[in-house]
Amino acid sequence: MSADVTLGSTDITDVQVRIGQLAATARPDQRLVTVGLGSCVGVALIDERAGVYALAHVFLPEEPDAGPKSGAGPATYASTVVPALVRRVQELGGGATSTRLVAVIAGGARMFSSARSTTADIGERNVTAVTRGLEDAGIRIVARLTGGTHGRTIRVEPGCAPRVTVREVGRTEVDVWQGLTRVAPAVDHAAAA
Amino acid sequence: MPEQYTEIQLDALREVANTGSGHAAGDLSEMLGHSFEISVPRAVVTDIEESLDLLGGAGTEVTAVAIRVGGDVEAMLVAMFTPEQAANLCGLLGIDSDSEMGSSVLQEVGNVLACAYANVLAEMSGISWEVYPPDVIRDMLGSIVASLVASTTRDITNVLLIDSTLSINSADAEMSVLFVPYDDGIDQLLMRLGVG
Repeated sequence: MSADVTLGSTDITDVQVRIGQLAATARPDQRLVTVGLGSCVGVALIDERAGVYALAHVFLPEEPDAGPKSGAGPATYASTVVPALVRRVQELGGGATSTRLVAVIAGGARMFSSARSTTADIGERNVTAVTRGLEDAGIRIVARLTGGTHGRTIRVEPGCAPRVTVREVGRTEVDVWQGLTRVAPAVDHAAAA
Repeated sequence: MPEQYTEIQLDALREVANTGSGHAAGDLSEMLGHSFEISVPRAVVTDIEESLDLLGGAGTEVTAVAIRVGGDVEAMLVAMFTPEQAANLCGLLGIDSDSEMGSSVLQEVGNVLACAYANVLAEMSGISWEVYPPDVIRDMLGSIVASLVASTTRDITNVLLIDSTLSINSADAEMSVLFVPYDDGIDQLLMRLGVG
């Protein structure tokens, strides 16, 4: 499912990242979007130098011990999402080293205080598991908007002024990460670093 | 948890929703002085994304009243309104839905609903069902329903969706009612309903 919006003179296409799914792009005219993260966690992976961006929509901390698992998407579980994301970024020519990758995470809210205590903290467990996965892979988290009691929408915009935004219901969208603005001809920022 | 439910099992769950929502409609009609109608309940097994689409889309903003019911076997009951429907419902009592009083009205609607279901479930299953205090949440449908599913089941490819609609036609007030059993008790519930 995708929607077209016009931003200035450029047509930007929204790529919806649904529950348990992940998507990556190296195109400046695409935007990765996940709507309605509650206890779920959105994980954005960024290789700014390569211009490759990815987003995953994580549902549960880890795979169930027993029971059916077939059909669950590659990003369903926090415990396995990071390698899947890195692979996707590498397929598009990014993520040559883990130090070039940075992550932004959002979500993991506690929506129901009335749910059972054993399951009400699933958002927090999702955040913990995602954080551990990123640490294990040596990927730095540069921004996080997690916990709380509100659902969130995360947008990853490659574009010429790359950024990641998060919005909670009834609030304004905030930039949680901004890349360096790219001007033509493209400047190799990393060369200066 | 069974991977798939038989049509007979789904029918039994539909009957729970039908009777529960029916009783709730009667009680709410008394409380609000307007007559509620109920739709034929739906009970289907589908994946999580399809569930969100069936309920109106992940990005839709809704007000939800969520209540946990049960003891040995447990379920979440959720009433969902659009902000406009919540306003119309509270408006029947001359109350602003965004005020604290409005939130109390919605909580009370949730209580009435949960008590009706708890009574019906107790009668049908012989298990005693307690009603816990309600949460009133205004958020995106996707955030609410996905979190609900995450806390009740671990299998997102076989989500059991049981819902019905209660409406007051004269006031354009409508709510959808979700009955979401925790999956570790569903086998026992189905057995007690005589379709295990």
